[in-house]
Amino acid sequence: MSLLERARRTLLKRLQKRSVVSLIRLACWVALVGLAVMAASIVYPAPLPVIFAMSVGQVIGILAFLCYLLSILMDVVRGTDHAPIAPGPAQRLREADPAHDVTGSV
Amino acid sequence: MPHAGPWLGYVALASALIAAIILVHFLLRRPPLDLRTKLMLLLGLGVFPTITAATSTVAGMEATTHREFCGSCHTMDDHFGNATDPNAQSLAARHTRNPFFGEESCYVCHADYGMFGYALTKMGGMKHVYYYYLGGYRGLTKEESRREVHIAKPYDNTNCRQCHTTTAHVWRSVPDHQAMAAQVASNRVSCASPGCHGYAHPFSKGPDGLGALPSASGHAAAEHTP
Repeated sequence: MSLLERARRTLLKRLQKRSVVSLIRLACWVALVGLAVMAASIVYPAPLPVIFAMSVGQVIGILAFLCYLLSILMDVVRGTDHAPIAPGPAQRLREADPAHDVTGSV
Repeated sequence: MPHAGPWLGYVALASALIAAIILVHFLLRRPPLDLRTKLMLLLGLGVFPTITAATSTVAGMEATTHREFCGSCHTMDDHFGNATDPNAQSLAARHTRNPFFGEESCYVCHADYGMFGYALTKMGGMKHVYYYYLGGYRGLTKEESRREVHIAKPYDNTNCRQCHTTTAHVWRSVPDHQAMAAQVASNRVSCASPGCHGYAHPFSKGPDGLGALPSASGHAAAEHTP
């Protein structure tokens, strides 16, 4: 197995250990913080709030959206469910190497 | 000068509120992660926060041009107070009373009007933030700041000429203007200098309003132009 393939499998395994819902919930909390920072700059337009909104606030918002995208990726990798007949990359992964079935399916 | 208006701030707040409602609903009600929920999350995590970020950025940039924003640091209290004093006769005060300058009299006079002027002005403003929060200006008393804070480079007559074009008959008919036209155009003589129209902020130029006070530390302090 090549190093690239091993890295890919490790990444997929780690992704599949995480819960999609918990990642989305994390994204929601992070986004709420970012929105609060940006809204504060409108309510109180002093130098520091405005600078924080344009820098930290937007970075936080981007992080939240990246968490959401990652959860979508995890969802796609897992397929619609974890059954053996589930379509998508998860099934291909299981077919390629049944000994390393990371989905928990039989 | 930008004129986005206050409605952008309302748009930013409204989109932030909508996004927050979607997110809080998901966090509290925990609906099943079906297609409808995923699309709502796309709105709450992607679309509305993007609108909030874009509009709050423009509204924030707009806010940085307001006089209250410039005067929000205590080192600018004297400048702000003099400019807004209805009885003051300094250049800054007279121009601030001009409706054309509106709430943005500091920005209109101190902005860079070159090709990349807006960005350069904002970059200069970031230096002010640095000086205030990290450069020790925050701890200055009013008296010290009056002595230490001064303009970074000689005031450019080009800014005056954004309005006073120096081409109108009225301007050319003044003998002093005729005699100094070349020097004014080349910035060798400032419009805002003693003998011409006086300093814009004379209170910062000593008790008589004519000469710059020496800095306490003996060297030029930081700047104050945008």
